[in-house]
Amino acid sequence: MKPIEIGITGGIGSGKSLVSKVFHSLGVPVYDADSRAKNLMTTDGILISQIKKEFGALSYYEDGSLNRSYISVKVFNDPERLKVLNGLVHPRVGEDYTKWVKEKNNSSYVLKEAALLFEANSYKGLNKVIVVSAPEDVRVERVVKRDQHRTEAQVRDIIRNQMPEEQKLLKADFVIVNDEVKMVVPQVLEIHQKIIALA
Amino acid sequence: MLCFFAATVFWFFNALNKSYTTNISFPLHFDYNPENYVPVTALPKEVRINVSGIGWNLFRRSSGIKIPPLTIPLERPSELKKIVGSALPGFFSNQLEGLEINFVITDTLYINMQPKAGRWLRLSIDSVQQNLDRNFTLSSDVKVVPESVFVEGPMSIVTKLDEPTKLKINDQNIDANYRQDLKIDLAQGDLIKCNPSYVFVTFGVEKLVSVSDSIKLEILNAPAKSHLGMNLSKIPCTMGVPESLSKDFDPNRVKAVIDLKGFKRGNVKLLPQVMGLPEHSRVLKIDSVRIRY
Repeated sequence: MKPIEIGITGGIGSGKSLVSKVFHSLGVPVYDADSRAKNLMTTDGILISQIKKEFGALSYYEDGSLNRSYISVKVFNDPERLKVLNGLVHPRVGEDYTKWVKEKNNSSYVLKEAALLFEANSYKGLNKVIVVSAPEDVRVERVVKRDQHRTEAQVRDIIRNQMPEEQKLLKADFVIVNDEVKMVVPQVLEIHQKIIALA
Repeated sequence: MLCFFAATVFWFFNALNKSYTTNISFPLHFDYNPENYVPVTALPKEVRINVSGIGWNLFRRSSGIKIPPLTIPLERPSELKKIVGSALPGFFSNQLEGLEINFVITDTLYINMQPKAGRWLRLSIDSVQQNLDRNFTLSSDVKVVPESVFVEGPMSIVTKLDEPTKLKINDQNIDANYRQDLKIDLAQGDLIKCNPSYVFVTFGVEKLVSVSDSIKLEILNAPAKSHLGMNLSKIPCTMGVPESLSKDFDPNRVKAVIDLKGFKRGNVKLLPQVMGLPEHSRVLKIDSVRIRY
Protein backbone atom coordinates (compact mmCIF):
# COMPACT_ATOMS: atom_id res chain seq x y z
CA MET A 1 0.00 0.00 0.00
CA LYS A 2 1.23 3.50 -0.83
CA PRO A 3 2.24 5.34 2.34
CA ILE A 4 0.76 8.70 3.30
CA GLU A 5 3.20 11.43 2.31
CA ILE A 6 3.86 14.11 4.88
CA GLY A 7 6.02 17.17 4.27
CA ILE A 8 8.00 18.88 6.97
CA THR A 9 9.35 22.35 6.46
CA GLY A 10 10.34 25.51 8.28
CA GLY A 11 12.66 28.44 7.94
CA ILE A 12 16.40 28.30 8.50
CA GLY A 13 17.16 27.44 12.12
CA SER A 14 13.60 26.42 12.95
CA GLY A 15 14.75 22.90 13.87
CA LYS A 16 13.29 20.81 11.04
CA SER A 17 16.08 18.27 11.27
CA LEU A 18 15.65 17.84 15.02
CA VAL A 19 11.93 17.24 14.60
CA SER A 20 12.59 14.84 11.70
CA LYS A 21 14.98 12.89 13.93
CA VAL A 22 12.23 12.49 16.54
CA PHE A 23 9.88 11.15 13.84
CA HIS A 24 12.67 8.87 12.59
CA SER A 25 13.14 7.48 16.09
CA LEU A 26 9.43 6.49 15.94
CA GLY A 27 10.23 4.39 12.86
CA VAL A 28 9.04 6.89 10.26
CA PRO A 29 11.17 6.93 7.08
CA VAL A 30 12.50 10.46 6.47
CA TYR A 31 13.59 11.80 3.09
CA ASP A 32 15.92 14.76 3.59
CA ALA A 33 15.43 16.64 0.31
CA ASP A 34 18.26 19.13 0.92
CA SER A 35 20.85 16.43 1.68
CA ARG A 36 19.60 14.33 -1.24
CA ALA A 37 19.90 17.37 -3.52
CA LYS A 38 23.52 17.85 -2.48
CA ASN A 39 24.14 14.17 -3.02
CA LEU A 40 22.48 14.12 -6.45
CA MET A 41 24.56 17.10 -7.55
CA THR A 42 27.63 14.84 -7.34
CA THR A 43 26.16 11.45 -8.26
CA ASP A 44 23.42 12.05 -10.84
CA GLY A 45 25.10 12.07 -14.26
CA ILE A 46 22.27 13.94 -15.97
CA LEU A 47 22.19 16.64 -13.32
CA ILE A 48 25.98 17.01 -13.32
CA SER A 49 26.08 17.53 -17.08
CA GLN A 50 23.20 20.03 -16.90
CA ILE A 51 24.95 22.04 -14.18
CA LYS A 52 28.24 22.02 -16.10
CA LYS A 53 26.43 23.15 -19.24
CA GLU A 54 24.67 25.99 -17.43
CA PHE A 55 27.37 27.18 -15.02
CA GLY A 56 30.58 25.97 -16.69
CA ALA A 57 33.08 23.16 -16.09
CA LEU A 58 34.48 24.99 -13.05
CA SER A 59 31.33 23.97 -11.18
CA TYR A 60 33.10 20.71 -10.33
CA TYR A 61 36.58 19.87 -9.07
CA GLU A 62 38.67 17.31 -10.89
CA ASP A 63 37.75 14.64 -8.32
CA GLY A 64 34.06 15.14 -9.18
CA SER A 65 33.08 16.99 -6.03
CA LEU A 66 30.96 20.13 -6.32
CA ASN A 67 32.76 23.45 -6.27
CA ARG A 68 30.35 24.99 -3.76
CA SER A 69 32.12 28.34 -3.42
CA TYR A 70 32.09 28.79 -7.23
CA ILE A 71 28.38 27.94 -7.46
CA SER A 72 27.62 30.18 -4.47
CA VAL A 73 29.32 33.13 -6.14
CA LYS A 74 27.35 32.47 -9.34
CA VAL A 75 23.93 32.37 -7.68
CA PHE A 76 24.44 34.66 -4.67
CA ASN A 77 22.53 37.91 -5.14
CA ASP A 78 21.33 36.73 -8.56
CA PRO A 79 17.79 35.40 -8.16
CA GLU A 80 17.55 34.52 -11.85
CA ARG A 81 20.63 32.25 -11.74
CA LEU A 82 19.38 30.73 -8.48
CA LYS A 83 16.09 30.02 -10.21
CA VAL A 84 17.96 28.28 -13.03
CA LEU A 85 19.91 26.13 -10.56
CA ASN A 86 16.74 25.22 -8.65
CA GLY A 87 15.04 24.46 -11.97
CA LEU A 88 17.73 21.87 -12.67
CA VAL A 89 17.93 20.35 -9.18
CA HIS A 90 14.28 20.23 -8.04
CA PRO A 91 12.94 17.97 -10.83
CA ARG A 92 15.75 15.45 -10.25
CA VAL A 93 15.07 15.49 -6.50
CA GLY A 94 11.37 15.03 -7.28
CA GLU A 95 12.10 11.91 -9.34
CA ASP A 96 14.46 10.57 -6.70
CA TYR A 97 11.82 11.13 -4.01
CA THR A 98 9.14 9.32 -6.06
CA LYS A 99 11.43 6.29 -6.41
CA TRP A 100 12.21 6.42 -2.68
CA VAL A 101 8.51 6.48 -1.72
CA LYS A 102 7.85 3.41 -3.89
CA GLU A 103 10.38 1.50 -1.80
CA LYS A 104 8.57 2.37 1.46
CA ASN A 105 5.42 0.31 0.89
CA ASN A 106 5.60 -1.19 4.38
CA SER A 107 5.34 2.17 6.14
CA SER A 108 2.02 3.78 6.98
CA TYR A 109 3.53 7.19 6.31
CA VAL A 110 6.76 8.83 5.19
CA LEU A 111 8.22 12.25 5.87
CA LYS A 112 9.75 14.56 3.29
CA GLU A 113 11.92 17.20 4.90
CA ALA A 114 12.60 20.23 2.72
CA ALA A 115 13.42 23.85 3.45
CA LEU A 116 11.72 25.12 0.28
CA LEU A 117 8.67 22.87 0.27
CA PHE A 118 6.27 25.77 -0.35
CA GLU A 119 8.59 27.88 -2.47
CA ALA A 120 9.24 24.97 -4.86
CA ASN A 121 5.54 24.02 -4.83
CA SER A 122 6.55 20.45 -4.00
CA TYR A 123 4.03 20.41 -1.11
CA LYS A 124 1.20 20.05 -3.62
CA GLY A 125 1.71 16.31 -4.10
CA LEU A 126 1.85 15.67 -0.36
CA ASN A 127 -1.07 14.63 1.85
CA LYS A 128 -0.25 16.89 4.81
CA VAL A 129 2.41 19.42 5.75
CA ILE A 130 4.04 20.02 9.12
CA VAL A 131 5.56 23.45 9.69
CA VAL A 132 8.24 23.79 12.36
CA SER A 133 8.02 27.24 13.86
CA ALA A 134 10.37 29.20 16.09
CA PRO A 135 10.81 32.92 16.88
CA GLU A 136 13.30 34.71 14.64
CA ASP A 137 15.75 35.53 17.42
CA VAL A 138 15.91 31.89 18.47
CA ARG A 139 16.48 30.82 14.87
CA VAL A 140 19.28 33.34 14.35
CA GLU A 141 21.00 32.25 17.55
CA ARG A 142 20.83 28.59 16.51
CA VAL A 143 22.22 29.19 13.00
CA VAL A 144 25.07 31.42 14.19
CA LYS A 145 26.03 28.72 16.69
CA ARG A 146 25.75 25.95 14.06
CA ASP A 147 27.27 27.67 11.00
CA GLN A 148 30.15 29.60 12.47
CA HIS A 149 31.10 31.09 9.10
CA ARG A 150 27.80 33.05 9.06
CA THR A 151 27.25 36.35 10.84
CA GLU A 152 23.98 37.34 12.48
CA ALA A 153 23.33 39.89 9.72
CA GLN A 154 23.80 37.22 7.03
CA VAL A 155 21.38 34.88 8.78
CA ARG A 156 18.78 37.64 9.08
CA ASP A 157 19.31 38.32 5.35
CA ILE A 158 18.64 34.66 4.57
CA ILE A 159 15.48 34.74 6.72
CA ARG A 160 14.26 37.84 4.89
CA ASN A 161 14.82 36.11 1.53
CA GLN A 162 12.82 33.05 2.59
CA MET A 163 9.03 32.84 2.54
CA PRO A 164 7.79 34.60 5.70
CA GLU A 165 6.96 32.17 8.49
CA GLU A 166 3.41 33.57 8.70
CA GLN A 167 2.76 32.45 5.11
CA LYS A 168 4.10 28.99 5.87
CA LEU A 169 1.88 28.72 8.94
CA LEU A 170 -1.19 29.54 6.85
CA LYS A 171 -0.49 26.52 4.65
CA ALA A 172 0.29 24.15 7.52
CA ASP A 173 -1.79 21.15 8.47
CA PHE A 174 0.20 20.69 11.66
CA VAL A 175 2.49 23.08 13.50
CA ILE A 176 5.32 22.16 15.81
CA VAL A 177 6.58 25.00 17.97
CA ASN A 178 10.29 24.60 18.60
CA ASP A 179 10.94 27.72 20.65
CA GLU A 180 12.96 26.03 23.41
CA VAL A 181 10.04 26.65 25.77
CA LYS A 182 7.41 24.23 24.53
CA MET A 183 8.46 20.57 24.55
CA VAL A 184 8.88 19.12 21.07
CA VAL A 185 8.47 15.38 21.71
CA PRO A 186 4.83 15.55 23.00
CA GLN A 187 3.92 17.66 19.96
CA VAL A 188 5.52 15.10 17.65
CA LEU A 189 3.76 12.21 19.40
CA GLU A 190 0.39 13.95 19.08
CA ILE A 191 0.88 14.54 15.35
CA HIS A 192 2.22 11.01 14.88
CA GLN A 193 -1.00 9.63 16.39
CA LYS A 194 -3.12 11.85 14.19
CA ILE A 195 -1.29 10.75 11.02
CA ILE A 196 -1.49 7.07 12.01
CA ALA A 197 -5.24 7.56 12.41
CA LEU A 198 -5.40 8.88 8.83
CA ALA A 199 -3.65 5.81 7.40
CA MET B 1 -21.38 48.85 55.91
CA LEU B 2 -18.68 51.27 54.83
CA CYS B 3 -16.00 48.89 56.11
CA PHE B 4 -17.59 46.03 54.19
CA PHE B 5 -17.66 48.09 50.99
CA ALA B 6 -14.04 49.20 51.46
CA ALA B 7 -12.97 45.60 52.10
CA THR B 8 -14.78 44.42 48.96
CA VAL B 9 -13.10 47.09 46.82
CA PHE B 10 -9.73 46.25 48.33
CA TRP B 11 -10.29 42.53 47.74
CA PHE B 12 -11.43 43.18 44.14
CA PHE B 13 -8.41 45.27 43.19
CA ASN B 14 -6.09 42.89 44.97
CA ALA B 15 -7.60 39.96 43.04
CA LEU B 16 -7.15 41.80 39.74
CA ASN B 17 -3.43 42.04 40.36
CA LYS B 18 -2.99 38.26 40.64
CA SER B 19 -2.19 35.98 37.70
CA TYR B 20 -4.85 33.66 36.24
CA THR B 21 -5.43 31.32 33.33
CA THR B 22 -8.70 31.33 31.40
CA ASN B 23 -10.35 30.79 27.99
CA ILE B 24 -11.30 33.93 26.08
CA SER B 25 -12.99 34.40 22.70
CA PHE B 26 -11.23 37.09 20.69
CA PRO B 27 -12.75 38.80 17.64
CA LEU B 28 -10.93 38.12 14.38
CA HIS B 29 -10.01 40.37 11.50
CA PHE B 30 -8.65 39.01 8.22
CA ASP B 31 -6.35 41.41 6.46
CA TYR B 32 -6.69 40.90 2.68
CA ASN B 33 -7.12 43.05 -0.40
CA PRO B 34 -10.90 43.37 -0.88
CA GLU B 35 -10.30 44.72 -4.39
CA ASN B 36 -8.97 41.33 -5.49
CA TYR B 37 -10.63 38.76 -3.23
CA VAL B 38 -14.09 38.06 -1.89
CA PRO B 39 -15.31 35.57 0.76
CA VAL B 40 -17.63 32.87 -0.58
CA THR B 41 -18.69 31.80 2.89
CA ALA B 42 -18.61 34.01 5.95
CA LEU B 43 -15.16 34.25 7.50
CA PRO B 44 -14.76 33.04 11.10
CA LYS B 45 -15.66 35.86 13.48
CA GLU B 46 -13.79 34.77 16.58
CA VAL B 47 -11.17 32.45 17.96
CA ARG B 48 -11.09 30.90 21.42
CA ILE B 49 -7.72 30.93 23.15
CA ASN B 50 -6.46 29.73 26.51
CA VAL B 51 -4.40 32.63 27.93
CA SER B 52 -2.62 33.55 31.13
CA GLY B 53 -2.11 37.03 32.52
CA ILE B 54 -2.82 39.30 35.42
CA GLY B 55 -6.47 39.57 36.45
CA TRP B 56 -6.93 43.12 35.23
CA ASN B 57 -5.83 42.27 31.65
CA LEU B 58 -8.00 39.14 31.63
CA PHE B 59 -10.98 41.04 33.04
CA ARG B 60 -10.64 43.76 30.41
CA ARG B 61 -10.39 41.21 27.57
CA SER B 62 -13.11 38.85 28.78
CA SER B 63 -15.54 41.71 29.42
CA GLY B 64 -15.46 42.38 25.67
CA ILE B 65 -15.07 46.13 26.10
CA LYS B 66 -13.09 47.71 23.25
CA ILE B 67 -11.19 44.55 22.37
CA PRO B 68 -9.23 45.17 19.18
CA PRO B 69 -9.65 42.18 16.87
CA LEU B 70 -6.74 39.81 16.31
CA THR B 71 -5.48 40.21 12.77
CA ILE B 72 -4.55 37.39 10.39
CA PRO B 73 -2.84 38.65 7.22
CA LEU B 74 -3.94 36.78 4.07
CA GLU B 75 -1.73 37.53 1.10
CA ARG B 76 -3.23 35.01 -1.33
CA PRO B 77 -6.41 33.94 0.46
CA SER B 78 -7.82 31.98 -2.48
CA GLU B 79 -5.02 29.42 -2.05
CA LEU B 80 -6.12 28.70 1.53
CA LYS B 81 -8.85 26.39 2.66
CA LYS B 82 -8.10 26.38 6.35
CA ILE B 83 -5.78 27.62 9.06
CA VAL B 84 -5.06 25.13 11.80
CA GLY B 85 -5.42 26.40 15.35
CA SER B 86 -1.85 25.49 16.26
CA ALA B 87 -0.57 27.93 13.61
CA LEU B 88 -2.37 30.89 15.18
CA PRO B 89 -0.09 31.72 18.13
CA GLY B 90 2.52 32.70 15.53
CA PHE B 91 0.18 35.49 14.36
CA PHE B 92 -1.17 36.61 17.71
CA SER B 93 1.82 36.58 20.06
CA ASN B 94 2.61 40.24 19.31
CA GLN B 95 -1.03 41.31 19.38
CA LEU B 96 -1.94 40.21 22.90
CA GLU B 97 -0.18 42.69 25.10
CA GLY B 98 0.00 41.55 28.72
CA LEU B 99 -1.33 38.09 27.94
CA GLU B 100 0.46 34.86 27.21
CA ILE B 101 -1.05 32.31 24.84
CA ASN B 102 -1.05 28.81 26.31
CA PHE B 103 -2.87 27.16 23.42
CA VAL B 104 -5.57 27.85 20.85
CA ILE B 105 -8.82 26.03 21.62
CA THR B 106 -10.37 26.60 18.18
CA ASP B 107 -9.25 23.59 16.14
CA THR B 108 -9.39 25.02 12.62
CA LEU B 109 -10.50 28.23 10.94
CA TYR B 110 -12.06 27.45 7.58
CA ILE B 111 -11.47 29.98 4.81
CA ASN B 112 -13.37 30.01 1.54
CA MET B 113 -12.31 32.95 -0.58
CA GLN B 114 -12.04 33.42 -4.30
CA PRO B 115 -10.53 35.95 -6.66
CA LYS B 116 -13.03 38.69 -7.39
CA ALA B 117 -14.39 38.78 -10.95
CA GLY B 118 -16.56 41.31 -12.76
CA ARG B 119 -18.49 41.27 -16.04
CA TRP B 120 -21.40 42.88 -17.85
CA LEU B 121 -24.54 40.78 -17.59
CA ARG B 122 -27.49 41.00 -19.95
CA LEU B 123 -30.90 40.79 -18.29
CA SER B 124 -34.33 39.78 -19.50
CA ILE B 125 -37.66 39.11 -17.80
CA ASP B 126 -38.96 35.60 -17.33
CA SER B 127 -42.36 34.91 -18.94
CA VAL B 128 -44.60 37.78 -17.88
CA GLN B 129 -47.84 36.07 -18.94
CA GLN B 130 -48.10 34.22 -15.64
CA ASN B 131 -48.05 37.52 -13.73
CA LEU B 132 -51.00 39.01 -15.61
CA ASP B 133 -54.65 38.96 -14.60
CA ARG B 134 -56.29 36.04 -16.43
CA ASN B 135 -58.40 38.47 -18.46
CA PHE B 136 -55.39 40.49 -19.64
CA THR B 137 -52.55 39.99 -22.09
CA LEU B 138 -49.40 41.80 -23.20
CA SER B 139 -49.82 44.58 -25.72
CA SER B 140 -46.13 45.42 -26.13
CA ASP B 141 -42.67 43.93 -25.72
CA VAL B 142 -41.21 43.78 -22.21
CA LYS B 143 -38.47 46.40 -21.85
CA VAL B 144 -35.69 46.30 -19.27
CA VAL B 145 -33.64 49.46 -18.67
CA PRO B 146 -30.68 49.16 -18.52
CA GLU B 147 -30.44 45.95 -20.50
CA SER B 148 -27.06 45.10 -18.92
CA VAL B 149 -25.62 45.62 -15.45
CA PHE B 150 -22.09 45.19 -14.10
CA VAL B 151 -21.83 42.28 -11.66
CA GLU B 152 -18.95 41.66 -9.29
CA GLY B 153 -18.35 38.70 -6.99
CA PRO B 154 -16.61 35.34 -6.55
CA MET B 155 -15.16 34.18 -9.86
CA SER B 156 -16.84 30.76 -9.84
CA ILE B 157 -20.29 32.33 -9.44
CA VAL B 158 -19.89 35.35 -11.70
CA THR B 159 -18.56 33.31 -14.62
CA LYS B 160 -21.46 30.84 -14.41
CA LEU B 161 -24.32 33.37 -14.55
CA ASP B 162 -26.62 32.74 -17.51
CA GLU B 163 -26.47 35.13 -20.44
CA PRO B 164 -29.02 36.65 -20.48
CA THR B 165 -30.06 36.14 -16.88
CA LYS B 166 -33.83 36.03 -16.42
CA LEU B 167 -35.42 38.09 -13.67
CA LYS B 168 -38.80 37.33 -12.16
CA ILE B 169 -41.54 39.87 -11.51
CA ASN B 170 -43.19 39.33 -8.15
CA ASP B 171 -46.41 41.26 -8.82
CA GLN B 172 -49.44 39.13 -9.65
CA ASN B 173 -52.77 39.76 -11.39
CA ILE B 174 -51.37 42.73 -13.32
CA ASP B 175 -54.25 44.50 -15.11
CA ALA B 176 -52.66 47.85 -16.01
CA ASN B 177 -49.63 49.00 -17.97
CA TYR B 178 -46.53 48.13 -15.95
CA ARG B 179 -43.74 50.59 -15.00
CA GLN B 180 -41.81 49.43 -11.96
CA ASP B 181 -38.31 49.25 -10.52
CA LEU B 182 -37.23 45.65 -10.06
CA LYS B 183 -34.49 44.62 -7.65
CA ILE B 184 -31.96 42.35 -9.36
CA ASP B 185 -32.24 39.15 -7.38
CA LEU B 186 -29.62 36.64 -8.53
CA ALA B 187 -28.89 33.16 -7.23
CA GLN B 188 -26.35 33.50 -4.37
CA GLY B 189 -27.05 37.21 -4.71
CA ASP B 190 -25.71 38.02 -1.25
CA LEU B 191 -22.24 37.34 -2.66
CA ILE B 192 -22.73 39.37 -5.83
CA LYS B 193 -22.78 43.12 -6.19
CA CYS B 194 -24.82 44.50 -9.11
CA ASN B 195 -24.39 48.00 -10.44
CA PRO B 196 -27.07 49.26 -10.69
CA SER B 197 -28.94 47.01 -8.29
CA TYR B 198 -32.36 47.86 -9.80
CA VAL B 199 -33.68 47.84 -13.36
CA PHE B 200 -36.75 49.59 -14.71
CA VAL B 201 -39.29 47.23 -16.30
CA THR B 202 -42.06 48.41 -18.58
CA PHE B 203 -44.72 46.69 -20.66
CA GLY B 204 -48.26 47.40 -21.79
CA VAL B 205 -51.28 45.18 -21.09
CA GLU B 206 -54.63 44.97 -22.76
CA LYS B 207 -57.93 43.36 -21.86
CA LEU B 208 -58.71 40.04 -23.52
CA VAL B 209 -62.02 39.54 -25.26
CA SER B 210 -63.31 36.02 -25.08
CA VAL B 211 -64.35 34.52 -28.43
CA SER B 212 -65.97 31.07 -28.53
CA ASP B 213 -66.31 29.32 -31.86
CA SER B 214 -65.70 26.06 -33.66
CA ILE B 215 -62.33 25.96 -35.38
CA LYS B 216 -60.97 23.69 -38.06
CA LEU B 217 -59.22 20.50 -36.85
CA GLU B 218 -56.26 19.26 -38.84
CA ILE B 219 -54.48 15.92 -38.29
CA LEU B 220 -50.88 15.79 -39.43
CA ASN B 221 -48.72 12.72 -40.17
CA ALA B 222 -51.56 10.24 -39.95
CA PRO B 223 -50.35 6.77 -41.14
CA ALA B 224 -51.48 5.81 -44.61
CA LYS B 225 -54.60 3.62 -44.84
CA SER B 226 -55.39 4.29 -41.20
CA HIS B 227 -58.85 4.90 -39.81
CA LEU B 228 -58.76 7.61 -37.16
CA GLY B 229 -61.85 6.42 -35.33
CA MET B 230 -63.28 9.91 -35.30
CA ASN B 231 -65.39 12.03 -37.48
CA LEU B 232 -64.54 15.60 -36.51
CA SER B 233 -63.64 18.39 -38.87
CA LYS B 234 -64.14 21.19 -36.33
CA ILE B 235 -63.83 21.44 -32.53
CA PRO B 236 -65.10 24.04 -30.05
CA CYS B 237 -62.50 26.48 -28.73
CA THR B 238 -62.60 29.57 -26.50
CA MET B 239 -59.92 32.12 -27.35
CA GLY B 240 -58.82 35.30 -25.62
CA VAL B 241 -58.05 38.03 -28.16
CA PRO B 242 -56.69 41.52 -27.33
CA GLU B 243 -59.53 44.00 -27.34
CA SER B 244 -57.89 46.16 -30.02
CA LEU B 245 -57.72 43.17 -32.40
CA SER B 246 -61.08 41.63 -31.60
CA LYS B 247 -63.05 43.61 -34.20
CA ASP B 248 -60.94 42.26 -37.08
CA PHE B 249 -60.55 38.76 -35.62
CA ASP B 250 -61.78 35.97 -37.87
CA PRO B 251 -61.99 32.52 -36.12
CA ASN B 252 -61.92 30.85 -39.56
CA ARG B 253 -58.22 31.74 -39.83
CA VAL B 254 -57.49 29.73 -36.68
CA LYS B 255 -57.00 25.98 -36.70
CA ALA B 256 -56.38 23.23 -34.16
CA VAL B 257 -53.55 20.90 -35.16
CA ILE B 258 -52.74 17.40 -33.93
CA ASP B 259 -49.44 15.96 -35.06
CA LEU B 260 -49.31 12.16 -34.83
CA LYS B 261 -45.60 11.99 -35.61
CA GLY B 262 -43.88 9.86 -33.01
CA PHE B 263 -47.07 8.33 -31.56
CA LYS B 264 -47.58 4.59 -31.62
CA ARG B 265 -50.80 3.17 -33.02
CA GLY B 266 -53.56 2.77 -30.47
CA ASN B 267 -56.09 4.77 -28.56
CA VAL B 268 -54.66 8.21 -27.66
CA LYS B 269 -56.07 11.40 -26.20
CA LEU B 270 -54.25 14.49 -27.44
CA LEU B 271 -54.53 18.22 -26.85
CA PRO B 272 -54.57 20.12 -30.14
CA GLN B 273 -52.20 22.99 -30.74
CA VAL B 274 -54.02 26.14 -31.82
CA MET B 275 -52.39 28.03 -34.67
CA GLY B 276 -53.13 31.30 -36.41
CA LEU B 277 -54.09 33.35 -33.37
CA PRO B 278 -53.24 37.07 -33.44
CA GLU B 279 -50.20 38.25 -31.41
CA HIS B 280 -50.64 38.24 -27.60
CA SER B 281 -53.82 36.12 -27.91
CA ARG B 282 -54.19 32.89 -25.99
CA VAL B 283 -56.39 29.81 -25.79
CA LEU B 284 -58.75 29.96 -22.82
CA LYS B 285 -60.41 26.59 -23.34
CA ILE B 286 -60.10 23.65 -25.73
CA ASP B 287 -60.90 19.99 -25.23
CA SER B 288 -58.49 17.19 -25.97
CA VAL B 289 -59.38 14.84 -28.84
CA ARG B 290 -59.47 11.02 -28.62
CA ILE B 291 -58.02 9.29 -31.65
CA ARG B 292 -57.95 5.55 -32.34
CA TYR B 293 -55.84 4.36 -35.29
